[in-house]
Amino acid sequence: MHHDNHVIFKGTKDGLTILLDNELDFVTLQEHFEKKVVDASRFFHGAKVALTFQGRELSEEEQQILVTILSKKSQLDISFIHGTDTDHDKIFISPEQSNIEKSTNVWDEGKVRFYKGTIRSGQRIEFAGNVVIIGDVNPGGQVIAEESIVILGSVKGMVHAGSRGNVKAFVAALSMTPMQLRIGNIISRSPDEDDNQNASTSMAHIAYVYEQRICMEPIDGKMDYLFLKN
Amino acid sequence: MSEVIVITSGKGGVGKTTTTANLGTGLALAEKKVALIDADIGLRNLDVVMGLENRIVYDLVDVVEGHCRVRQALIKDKRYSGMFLLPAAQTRDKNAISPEQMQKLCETLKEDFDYILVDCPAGIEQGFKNAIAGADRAIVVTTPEVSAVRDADRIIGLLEANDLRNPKLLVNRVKADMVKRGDMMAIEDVMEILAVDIIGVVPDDDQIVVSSNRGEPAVTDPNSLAGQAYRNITKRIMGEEVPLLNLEEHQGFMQRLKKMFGLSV
Repeated sequence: MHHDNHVIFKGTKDGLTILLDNELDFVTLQEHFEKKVVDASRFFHGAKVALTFQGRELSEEEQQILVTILSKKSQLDISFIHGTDTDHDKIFISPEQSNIEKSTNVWDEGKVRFYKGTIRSGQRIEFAGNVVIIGDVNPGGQVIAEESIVILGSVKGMVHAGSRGNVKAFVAALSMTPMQLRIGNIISRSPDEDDNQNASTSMAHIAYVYEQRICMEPIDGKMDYLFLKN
Repeated sequence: MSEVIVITSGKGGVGKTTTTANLGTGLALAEKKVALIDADIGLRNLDVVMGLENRIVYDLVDVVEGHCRVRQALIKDKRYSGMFLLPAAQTRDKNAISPEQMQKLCETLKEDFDYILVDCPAGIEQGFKNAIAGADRAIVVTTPEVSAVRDADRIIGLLEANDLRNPKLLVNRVKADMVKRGDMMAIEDVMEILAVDIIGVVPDDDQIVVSSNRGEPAVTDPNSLAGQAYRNITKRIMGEEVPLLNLEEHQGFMQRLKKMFGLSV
């Protein structure tokens, strides 16, 4: 690596990615980092960003040191720090895979959380970002997320994705027979005559908003209308 | 090691009291020392089902308020050695005791008994909170009806929130012929929704009504299929592995004969 490139700042659509040299000792890296932050600070103008460190495994402590430098020496408002993830690095850095980055089939959705267990009648869980439920949502249970919801189980209760008005959020589940499904401010309810029930329980389905209506279709590799701009 | 088991359901009328009486009697028949607590203050009826109503002097509220000692309030069931009932007060309501008092009472009883079964009132309010306060395990009773299953689901959620993990499910009043015709939820459907371990399936049995009215739990009747189901559940509570009862065994002679000749469906 060229000596200027021990620390590289990279703006991505979901925030700021900082690539770090993996060979330098941390103290030297820290100096380079500080210098780079001071040099670049005029670009930042107190923008609100999510931060990702890449290229090097950082301990909690080391990460904290860098974040402190960044917030002191620049006007950045750090809203969220992504964990370092080596596989994640490969997707974005490895030259032979770099075409994936341009693919529309890959996108970043910010914060994703996981929930393990069944959401039972009377239980209501809310998430600020995206959520993956590893379990079922039973009748009378409610899952609400500001972004999308993925359920690795069957949905019989109420799910509300994009609870703060994001109609680009989606809901996907292994078995989809929700009592009520809401995306953004659009509400749809289960049909009174559930003659189509078998179709949506025997196959994974995805629901999303298209032309102001909630559409539900099997996850079969087509999904042509998904993520077309609303 | 003694255990406090709460028998609960959410919905009323699914057979909590009958279950408590039968499992208690079953455990006593297996030579265990059993205490039954009726936590349904104000609507007591475990004493009636057990046929011990006329012997109540002190009750649960008297005990927690210190009007008597626990031993004075416990009614000994003379038919089965080692079985005692702590009846609920009829003139008070659920707010007469607190979860802390209930917990303390259960701890006291644990010193003298192998099993303490708590008959929980319907609902999710104070009475429910009291009943589960001292429990180590829970048995959730449901019937194969959508409303009962929904309430059972709610209860399981509340139990888990109160650190009573892995409650066991008892499906009561199953009518094998209706299930077969598709008119009643099958055990598999119930289990798919509730996703908890099943401790037993009890068939619908007219004899239960008769035995409840007489104050003799069905578990003592060797000819009753429901009694057999309760005997199996008793064994499972004690840690034995017993296969689930085949409810279709309960067929008339003619049906069995027809089946033999391949005439029956």
